[in-house]
Amino acid sequence: MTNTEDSSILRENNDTVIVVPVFSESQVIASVISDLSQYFPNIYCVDDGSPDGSGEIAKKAGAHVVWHPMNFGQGAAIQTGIEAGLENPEIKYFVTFDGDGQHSPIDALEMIRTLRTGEVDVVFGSRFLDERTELTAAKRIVLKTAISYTNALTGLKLTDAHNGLRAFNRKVAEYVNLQQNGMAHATEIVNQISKGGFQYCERPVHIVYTDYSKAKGQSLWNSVNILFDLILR
Amino acid sequence: MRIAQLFLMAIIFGLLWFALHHRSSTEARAFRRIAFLGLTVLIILAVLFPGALTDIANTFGIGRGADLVIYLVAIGLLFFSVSTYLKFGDMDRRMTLLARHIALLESKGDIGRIDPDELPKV
Repeated sequence: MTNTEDSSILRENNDTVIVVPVFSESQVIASVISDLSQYFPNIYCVDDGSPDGSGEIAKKAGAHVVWHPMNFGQGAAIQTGIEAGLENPEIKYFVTFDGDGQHSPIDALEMIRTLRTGEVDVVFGSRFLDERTELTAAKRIVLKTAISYTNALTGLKLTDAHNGLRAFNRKVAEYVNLQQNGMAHATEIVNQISKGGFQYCERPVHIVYTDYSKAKGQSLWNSVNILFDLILR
Repeated sequence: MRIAQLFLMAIIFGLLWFALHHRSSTEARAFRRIAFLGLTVLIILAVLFPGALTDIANTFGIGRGADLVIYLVAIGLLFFSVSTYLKFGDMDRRMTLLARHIALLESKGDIGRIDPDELPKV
Protein backbone atom coordinates (compact mmCIF):
# COMPACT_ATOMS: atom_id res chain seq x y z
CA MET A 1 0.00 0.00 0.00
CA THR A 2 1.39 3.41 -0.88
CA ASN A 3 1.58 6.34 1.49
CA THR A 4 -1.12 8.18 -0.39
CA GLU A 5 -3.55 5.35 0.12
CA ASP A 6 -2.59 5.15 3.77
CA SER A 7 -3.34 8.75 4.48
CA SER A 8 -6.62 8.69 2.62
CA ILE A 9 -7.69 5.70 4.73
CA LEU A 10 -6.73 7.61 7.87
CA ARG A 11 -8.75 10.60 6.77
CA GLU A 12 -11.72 8.47 5.88
CA ASN A 13 -11.62 6.77 9.29
CA ASN A 14 -11.32 9.96 11.28
CA ASP A 15 -14.98 9.52 12.22
CA THR A 16 -14.25 6.19 13.88
CA VAL A 17 -13.05 5.32 17.35
CA ILE A 18 -11.31 2.04 18.10
CA VAL A 19 -11.99 1.11 21.71
CA VAL A 20 -9.20 -1.08 23.07
CA PRO A 21 -9.69 -2.39 26.60
CA VAL A 22 -6.24 -3.01 28.06
CA PHE A 23 -5.24 -4.91 31.15
CA SER A 24 -1.58 -5.84 31.53
CA GLU A 25 -0.72 -6.12 27.86
CA SER A 26 2.66 -4.39 28.04
CA GLN A 27 4.32 -7.02 25.85
CA VAL A 28 2.03 -6.59 22.87
CA ILE A 29 0.08 -3.35 23.21
CA ALA A 30 2.61 -1.20 21.35
CA SER A 31 2.43 -3.37 18.25
CA VAL A 32 -1.37 -3.62 18.47
CA ILE A 33 -1.60 0.18 18.53
CA SER A 34 0.91 0.69 15.76
CA ASP A 35 -0.87 -1.85 13.52
CA LEU A 36 -4.20 -0.15 14.16
CA SER A 37 -2.82 3.32 13.60
CA GLN A 38 -2.04 2.44 9.97
CA TYR A 39 -5.75 2.68 9.32
CA PHE A 40 -7.37 4.41 12.26
CA PRO A 41 -6.30 7.76 13.68
CA ASN A 42 -8.49 7.61 16.82
CA ILE A 43 -7.54 4.76 19.10
CA TYR A 44 -8.98 4.97 22.59
CA CYS A 45 -7.24 2.64 24.99
CA VAL A 46 -8.89 2.14 28.33
CA ASP A 47 -6.20 1.07 30.76
CA ASP A 48 -8.14 -0.99 33.26
CA GLY A 49 -5.81 -0.49 36.18
CA SER A 50 -2.86 -2.37 34.65
CA PRO A 51 0.00 -2.74 37.11
CA ASP A 52 2.56 -3.15 34.31
CA GLY A 53 2.38 0.29 32.69
CA SER A 54 0.41 -0.84 29.63
CA GLY A 55 -1.35 2.53 29.53
CA GLU A 56 1.90 4.51 29.29
CA ILE A 57 3.13 2.21 26.52
CA ALA A 58 -0.13 2.63 24.63
CA LYS A 59 0.11 6.40 24.98
CA LYS A 60 3.66 6.42 23.63
CA ALA A 61 2.49 4.25 20.74
CA GLY A 62 0.03 7.00 19.84
CA ALA A 63 -3.24 5.97 21.46
CA HIS A 64 -5.46 8.21 23.54
CA VAL A 65 -5.63 6.67 26.98
CA VAL A 66 -8.38 6.76 29.57
CA TRP A 67 -7.25 5.46 32.93
CA HIS A 68 -9.38 3.42 35.23
CA PRO A 69 -8.13 4.03 38.77
CA MET A 70 -8.36 0.29 39.44
CA ASN A 71 -9.24 -2.92 37.71
CA PHE A 72 -12.92 -3.40 36.91
CA GLY A 73 -12.99 -5.85 34.03
CA GLN A 74 -13.23 -5.80 30.28
CA GLY A 75 -16.93 -4.93 30.14
CA ALA A 76 -16.37 -1.85 32.29
CA ALA A 77 -13.40 -0.78 30.16
CA ILE A 78 -15.35 -1.11 26.93
CA GLN A 79 -18.23 0.96 28.30
CA THR A 80 -15.79 3.66 29.39
CA GLY A 81 -14.20 3.69 25.93
CA ILE A 82 -17.59 4.00 24.25
CA GLU A 83 -18.55 6.90 26.51
CA ALA A 84 -15.23 8.61 25.81
CA GLY A 85 -15.93 8.30 22.09
CA LEU A 86 -19.46 9.65 22.49
CA GLU A 87 -18.10 12.84 24.00
CA ASN A 88 -16.93 13.78 20.55
CA PRO A 89 -19.91 14.56 18.31
CA GLU A 90 -17.85 13.95 15.15
CA ILE A 91 -17.49 10.27 15.93
CA LYS A 92 -19.91 8.16 13.90
CA TYR A 93 -18.54 4.63 14.26
CA PHE A 94 -17.15 2.51 17.07
CA VAL A 95 -15.09 -0.65 17.02
CA THR A 96 -14.24 -2.80 20.04
CA PHE A 97 -10.87 -4.45 19.61
CA ASP A 98 -9.01 -6.69 22.04
CA GLY A 99 -5.68 -5.46 23.38
CA ASP A 100 -3.88 -8.80 23.22
CA GLY A 101 -3.20 -8.83 19.49
CA GLN A 102 -5.62 -11.57 18.50
CA HIS A 103 -7.64 -9.35 16.18
CA SER A 104 -6.73 -8.03 12.78
CA PRO A 105 -7.04 -4.32 11.92
CA ILE A 106 -7.97 -5.32 8.36
CA ASP A 107 -11.05 -7.11 9.71
CA ALA A 108 -11.96 -3.95 11.63
CA LEU A 109 -11.53 -1.93 8.44
CA GLU A 110 -13.84 -4.23 6.52
CA MET A 111 -16.44 -4.05 9.28
CA ILE A 112 -16.41 -0.25 9.20
CA ARG A 113 -16.82 -0.37 5.43
CA THR A 114 -19.89 -2.53 5.91
CA LEU A 115 -21.28 -0.02 8.43
CA ARG A 116 -20.68 2.86 6.02
CA THR A 117 -23.16 1.37 3.56
CA GLY A 118 -25.79 2.25 6.18
CA GLU A 119 -27.56 -1.09 5.76
CA VAL A 120 -26.77 -2.28 9.25
CA ASP A 121 -26.14 -0.68 12.65
CA VAL A 122 -23.92 -3.40 14.04
CA VAL A 123 -21.37 -5.77 12.55
CA PHE A 124 -20.35 -8.70 14.73
CA GLY A 125 -17.10 -10.51 14.09
CA SER A 126 -17.36 -14.28 13.89
CA ARG A 127 -14.55 -16.80 13.87
CA PHE A 128 -16.89 -19.55 12.70
CA LEU A 129 -17.85 -18.19 9.28
CA ASP A 130 -14.70 -19.40 7.61
CA GLU A 131 -11.93 -21.83 8.32
CA ARG A 132 -9.16 -19.38 9.13
CA THR A 133 -9.34 -19.54 12.92
CA GLU A 134 -7.97 -22.66 14.54
CA LEU A 135 -9.63 -23.72 17.77
CA THR A 136 -9.25 -26.57 20.17
CA ALA A 137 -12.22 -28.93 20.37
CA ALA A 138 -12.98 -27.94 23.97
CA LYS A 139 -12.98 -24.23 23.16
CA ARG A 140 -15.18 -24.81 20.14
CA ILE A 141 -17.72 -26.70 22.25
CA VAL A 142 -17.79 -24.04 24.96
CA LEU A 143 -18.16 -21.20 22.45
CA LYS A 144 -20.89 -23.04 20.58
CA THR A 145 -22.76 -23.70 23.83
CA ALA A 146 -22.37 -20.05 24.78
CA ILE A 147 -23.76 -18.86 21.46
CA SER A 148 -26.73 -21.22 21.70
CA TYR A 149 -27.49 -19.69 25.07
CA THR A 150 -27.03 -16.14 23.79
CA ASN A 151 -29.22 -16.80 20.75
CA ALA A 152 -31.95 -18.39 22.88
CA LEU A 153 -31.82 -15.43 25.26
CA THR A 154 -31.78 -12.68 22.66
CA GLY A 155 -33.58 -14.13 19.66
CA LEU A 156 -30.71 -13.09 17.42
CA LYS A 157 -29.02 -15.56 15.11
CA LEU A 158 -25.29 -15.32 15.58
CA THR A 159 -22.57 -17.89 15.03
CA ASP A 160 -19.99 -16.65 17.53
CA ALA A 161 -20.27 -15.55 21.14
CA HIS A 162 -17.68 -13.69 23.09
CA ASN A 163 -15.85 -12.36 20.09
CA GLY A 164 -14.33 -9.06 21.12
CA LEU A 165 -14.29 -7.59 17.63
CA ARG A 166 -17.47 -5.70 16.82
CA ALA A 167 -18.31 -2.48 15.04
CA PHE A 168 -21.38 -0.32 15.48
CA ASN A 169 -22.67 3.14 14.72
CA ARG A 170 -23.32 6.03 17.08
CA LYS A 171 -26.99 5.15 17.53
CA VAL A 172 -25.99 1.81 19.01
CA ALA A 173 -23.20 3.34 21.10
CA GLU A 174 -25.71 5.71 22.67
CA TYR A 175 -28.15 2.91 23.36
CA VAL A 176 -25.76 0.35 24.81
CA ASN A 177 -25.06 0.52 28.53
CA LEU A 178 -22.86 -2.32 29.74
CA GLN A 179 -23.28 -3.14 33.40
CA GLN A 180 -21.54 -6.48 33.38
CA ASN A 181 -18.01 -5.55 34.28
CA GLY A 182 -16.60 -8.99 33.61
CA MET A 183 -16.70 -11.11 30.49
CA ALA A 184 -20.47 -11.54 30.60
CA HIS A 185 -20.64 -8.18 28.79
CA ALA A 186 -20.32 -10.06 25.50
CA THR A 187 -23.74 -11.61 25.99
CA GLU A 188 -25.07 -8.41 27.53
CA ILE A 189 -24.16 -6.31 24.49
CA VAL A 190 -25.87 -8.78 22.14
CA ASN A 191 -28.91 -8.72 24.40
CA GLN A 192 -29.10 -4.92 24.40
CA ILE A 193 -28.64 -4.74 20.64
CA SER A 194 -31.49 -7.22 20.31
CA LYS A 195 -33.71 -5.15 22.63
CA GLY A 196 -32.88 -2.00 20.70
CA GLY A 197 -34.07 -3.64 17.50
CA PHE A 198 -30.96 -2.70 15.53
CA GLN A 199 -30.05 -4.12 12.15
CA TYR A 200 -27.04 -6.37 12.38
CA CYS A 201 -24.88 -8.73 10.38
CA GLU A 202 -21.84 -10.89 10.91
CA ARG A 203 -18.50 -10.83 9.17
CA PRO A 204 -15.85 -13.53 9.26
CA VAL A 205 -12.82 -12.49 11.26
CA HIS A 206 -9.54 -14.20 11.86
CA ILE A 207 -8.56 -14.73 15.48
CA VAL A 208 -4.85 -15.35 15.85
CA TYR A 209 -4.15 -17.53 18.84
CA THR A 210 -0.55 -16.81 19.71
CA ASP A 211 1.09 -18.39 22.73
CA TYR A 212 0.74 -14.99 24.34
CA SER A 213 -2.97 -14.58 23.74
CA LYS A 214 -3.60 -18.19 24.73
CA ALA A 215 -1.81 -17.64 28.02
CA LYS A 216 -3.67 -14.36 28.62
CA GLY A 217 -6.99 -15.50 27.22
CA GLN A 218 -10.07 -16.88 28.83
CA SER A 219 -9.78 -20.03 30.82
CA LEU A 220 -12.64 -22.31 29.92
CA TRP A 221 -13.51 -22.33 33.60
CA ASN A 222 -14.47 -18.71 33.27
CA SER A 223 -17.51 -19.80 31.27
CA VAL A 224 -18.95 -21.04 34.57
CA ASN A 225 -18.41 -17.59 36.09
CA ILE A 226 -19.93 -15.91 33.06
CA LEU A 227 -23.04 -18.04 33.29
CA PHE A 228 -23.39 -17.20 36.97
CA ASP A 229 -22.97 -13.48 36.31
CA LEU A 230 -25.69 -13.61 33.68
CA ILE A 231 -28.22 -15.52 35.75
CA LEU A 232 -27.63 -14.00 39.17
CA ARG A 233 -27.36 -10.27 39.11
CA MET B 1 -43.14 -35.84 50.12
CA ARG B 2 -43.60 -34.90 53.73
CA ILE B 3 -45.02 -31.61 54.91
CA ALA B 4 -41.63 -30.49 56.24
CA GLN B 5 -39.98 -30.98 52.88
CA LEU B 6 -42.63 -29.00 51.06
CA PHE B 7 -42.52 -26.32 53.70
CA LEU B 8 -38.72 -25.96 53.59
CA MET B 9 -38.66 -25.94 49.79
CA ALA B 10 -41.27 -23.19 49.81
CA ILE B 11 -39.18 -21.17 52.26
CA ILE B 12 -35.96 -21.66 50.26
CA PHE B 13 -37.47 -20.60 46.94
CA GLY B 14 -39.47 -17.82 48.57
CA LEU B 15 -36.33 -16.36 50.13
CA LEU B 16 -34.34 -16.68 46.91
CA TRP B 17 -37.08 -14.93 44.99
CA PHE B 18 -37.25 -12.24 47.64
CA ALA B 19 -33.47 -11.76 47.63
CA LEU B 20 -33.46 -11.39 43.86
CA HIS B 21 -36.37 -8.99 43.54
CA HIS B 22 -36.33 -6.83 46.62
CA ARG B 23 -32.69 -6.13 47.27
CA SER B 24 -31.71 -2.85 48.85
CA SER B 25 -35.35 -1.86 49.15
CA THR B 26 -36.87 -0.79 52.44
CA GLU B 27 -38.84 -4.02 52.73
CA ALA B 28 -35.71 -6.06 52.22
CA ARG B 29 -33.88 -4.26 54.99
CA ALA B 30 -36.83 -4.62 57.36
CA PHE B 31 -37.17 -8.26 56.41
CA ARG B 32 -33.51 -8.95 57.10
CA ARG B 33 -33.78 -7.39 60.53
CA ILE B 34 -36.92 -9.31 61.42
CA ALA B 35 -35.27 -12.53 60.27
CA PHE B 36 -32.22 -11.72 62.35
CA LEU B 37 -34.29 -11.01 65.48
CA GLY B 38 -36.49 -14.05 64.90
CA LEU B 39 -33.50 -16.32 64.54
CA THR B 40 -31.93 -14.91 67.71
CA VAL B 41 -35.13 -15.52 69.70
CA LEU B 42 -35.40 -19.00 68.22
CA ILE B 43 -31.84 -19.87 69.20
CA ILE B 44 -32.38 -18.63 72.76
CA LEU B 45 -35.60 -20.64 73.05
CA ALA B 46 -33.89 -23.69 71.61
CA VAL B 47 -31.17 -23.47 74.23
CA LEU B 48 -33.65 -22.94 77.08
CA PHE B 49 -36.22 -25.56 76.02
CA PRO B 50 -34.51 -28.29 74.04
CA GLY B 51 -37.54 -30.53 74.36
CA ALA B 52 -39.94 -27.99 72.87
CA LEU B 53 -37.83 -27.78 69.74
CA THR B 54 -38.27 -31.49 69.12
CA ASP B 55 -42.03 -31.11 69.60
CA ILE B 56 -42.12 -28.35 66.98
CA ALA B 57 -39.98 -30.44 64.66
CA ASN B 58 -42.32 -33.37 65.07
CA THR B 59 -45.36 -31.35 64.08
CA PHE B 60 -43.57 -30.65 60.76
CA GLY B 61 -42.69 -34.30 60.39
CA ILE B 62 -39.02 -33.82 61.22
CA GLY B 63 -37.56 -36.32 63.69
CA ARG B 64 -35.34 -34.25 65.92
CA GLY B 65 -35.22 -30.62 66.98
CA ALA B 66 -31.54 -30.48 66.03
CA ASP B 67 -32.44 -31.37 62.44
CA LEU B 68 -34.89 -28.49 62.30
CA VAL B 69 -32.15 -26.14 63.51
CA ILE B 70 -29.77 -27.44 60.84
CA TYR B 71 -32.36 -26.83 58.12
CA LEU B 72 -33.10 -23.33 59.32
CA VAL B 73 -29.41 -22.47 59.59
CA ALA B 74 -28.81 -23.84 56.09
CA ILE B 75 -31.61 -21.68 54.71
CA GLY B 76 -30.29 -18.67 56.60
CA LEU B 77 -26.81 -19.23 55.21
CA LEU B 78 -28.08 -19.61 51.65
CA PHE B 79 -30.12 -16.45 51.96
CA PHE B 80 -27.17 -14.60 53.44
CA SER B 81 -24.82 -15.76 50.67
CA VAL B 82 -27.17 -14.76 47.89
CA SER B 83 -27.97 -11.37 49.34
CA THR B 84 -24.29 -10.67 50.05
CA TYR B 85 -23.34 -11.73 46.52
CA LEU B 86 -25.95 -9.40 45.07
CA LYS B 87 -24.99 -6.59 47.38
CA PHE B 88 -21.36 -6.85 46.33
CA GLY B 89 -22.50 -6.79 42.72
CA ASP B 90 -24.46 -3.58 43.34
CA MET B 91 -21.51 -1.98 45.10
CA ASP B 92 -19.23 -2.99 42.26
CA ARG B 93 -21.56 -1.36 39.73
CA ARG B 94 -21.73 1.84 41.74
CA MET B 95 -17.98 1.97 42.15
CA THR B 96 -17.55 1.41 38.42
CA LEU B 97 -19.80 4.36 37.62
CA LEU B 98 -17.84 6.56 39.98
CA ALA B 99 -14.49 5.41 38.61
CA ARG B 100 -15.66 5.87 35.03
CA HIS B 101 -16.82 9.36 35.80
CA ILE B 102 -13.41 10.21 37.27
CA ALA B 103 -11.56 8.52 34.40
CA LEU B 104 -13.52 10.48 31.80
CA LEU B 105 -13.09 13.76 33.69
CA GLU B 106 -9.35 13.20 33.98
CA SER B 107 -8.98 12.40 30.32
CA LYS B 108 -10.83 15.51 29.12
CA GLY B 109 -8.57 17.33 26.71
CA ASP B 110 -6.40 14.30 26.32
CA ILE B 111 -8.93 12.37 24.33
CA GLY B 112 -10.54 13.77 21.28
CA ARG B 113 -10.59 13.36 17.57
CA ILE B 114 -7.35 13.96 15.72
CA ASP B 115 -7.48 17.37 14.10
CA PRO B 116 -7.91 16.68 10.39
CA ASP B 117 -5.08 19.17 9.65
CA GLU B 118 -2.69 17.03 11.64
CA LEU B 119 -3.29 14.03 9.45
CA PRO B 120 -0.90 13.49 6.55
CA LYS B 121 -2.03 15.37 3.44
CA VAL B 122 -3.29 13.29 0.56
